[in-house]
Amino acid sequence: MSEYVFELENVVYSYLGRFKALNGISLKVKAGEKIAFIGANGTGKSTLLTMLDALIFPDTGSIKAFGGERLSEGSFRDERFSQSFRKKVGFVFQNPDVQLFCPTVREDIVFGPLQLGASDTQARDRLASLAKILEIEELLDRAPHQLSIGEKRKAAIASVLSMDTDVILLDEPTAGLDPATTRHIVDMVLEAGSKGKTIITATHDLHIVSEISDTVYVFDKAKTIVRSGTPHEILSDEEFLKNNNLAHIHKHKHKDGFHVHPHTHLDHHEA
Amino acid sequence: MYFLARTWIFIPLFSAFAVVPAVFNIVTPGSELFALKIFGFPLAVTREGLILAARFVLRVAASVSFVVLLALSTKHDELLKALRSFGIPQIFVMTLGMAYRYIYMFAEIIGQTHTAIKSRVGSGIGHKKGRKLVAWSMANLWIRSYSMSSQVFSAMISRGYAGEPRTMQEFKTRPADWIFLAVAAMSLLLVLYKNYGN
Repeated sequence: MSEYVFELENVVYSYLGRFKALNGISLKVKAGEKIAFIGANGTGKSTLLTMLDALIFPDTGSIKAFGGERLSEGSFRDERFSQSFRKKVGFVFQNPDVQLFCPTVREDIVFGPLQLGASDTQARDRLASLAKILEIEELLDRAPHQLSIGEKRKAAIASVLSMDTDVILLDEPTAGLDPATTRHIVDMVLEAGSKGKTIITATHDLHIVSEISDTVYVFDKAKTIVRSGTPHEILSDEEFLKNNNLAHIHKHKHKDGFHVHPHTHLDHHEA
Repeated sequence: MYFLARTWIFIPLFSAFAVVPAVFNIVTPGSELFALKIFGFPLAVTREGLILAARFVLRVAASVSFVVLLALSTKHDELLKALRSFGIPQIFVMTLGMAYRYIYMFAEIIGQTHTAIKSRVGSGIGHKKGRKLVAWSMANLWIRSYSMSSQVFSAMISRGYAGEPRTMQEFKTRPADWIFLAVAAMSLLLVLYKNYGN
């Protein structure tokens, strides 16, 4: 088996054939790697995740998964191939309302395993253990529309973790969450990562980047990867972050007036 | 109040309206109670017609009462699962469940849109502008729901959906269910005996 889970070569993609979303993306993702895609809004991070989940395909360029043939719409018409790919890759969508489409959280969590061939008993066992680990037992019988945004995100992540895939793609998993829930979500991701899974997260929440990734890819307005490196290399370059709309100047009031300084995202112990 | 308004005011009113022609002699001939003229056309209300109309309205009210009681006393996901027991295809039950789930989200969007409009234009909207705003809200909701449906479909595909949904069979009959079934069957037999016995 190939050491790479994904190999992208000069991938270009446009919505409706007009609105360019990815412009020459090349990258390789090794099994077990933790990767973060960062960039301002509209730089193509979500589109790339959607492509890695084989929900859209490149206009030009190629994408290969697990050392196999080039992915295309045609390859997913083969149900066996499609099911084997879905068993390996899970995608947590940015909008949890998209992810939670069943009448109850319980049914949403078992939906993936059941479609992928798990028996009722297996699905029930996975549900029970996940609910306990993620502390969402009290949410199971509730309807998604009754949940808060934080609860929805936890349930959405659970609905993908229950599939026990090798690769987990997360699109803005902490957007709009309070600090405590953000912490819980990061812990969920780290827990999954500790089991050797490949985790790819798109985010512009730079506070979580150093925890959830070993390698960071930065996207710019040209819809391409402008730089990659370790979280420390990227986050310590404040000028670069500012130029890419990822850092800003903090201005806050002290008793004697306003205090202005750059907003740093490095760990306090490192800075 | 919800129960009373739903079962004994709106729906019987609608059914009474629908059954109005049946009270007249041209639809239900019989012994005339009183005669009247509508646009010069002679009509008479018959005893049989009134009984027929009253029976129809009462039947509608009774049926709606049972349906509303069932919906109020049973979780919607259990109702949907019960449909499966009647042999309704899973794809149909699933579509119904998803429609029910997303109605709340779209109702929330409409509510928020309405509040946003009110906060900007206040309450002094004329009829013409009001109609435009309603049309715009409808179009906006349609576009959103269309976009949402394709995203939801992607989310389903992503989790292995291939056209044949599989769900967990969770229904188990408990002693309380058997007791309820026995009481219901006995009540039915009693009613049948009282009506058609002897």
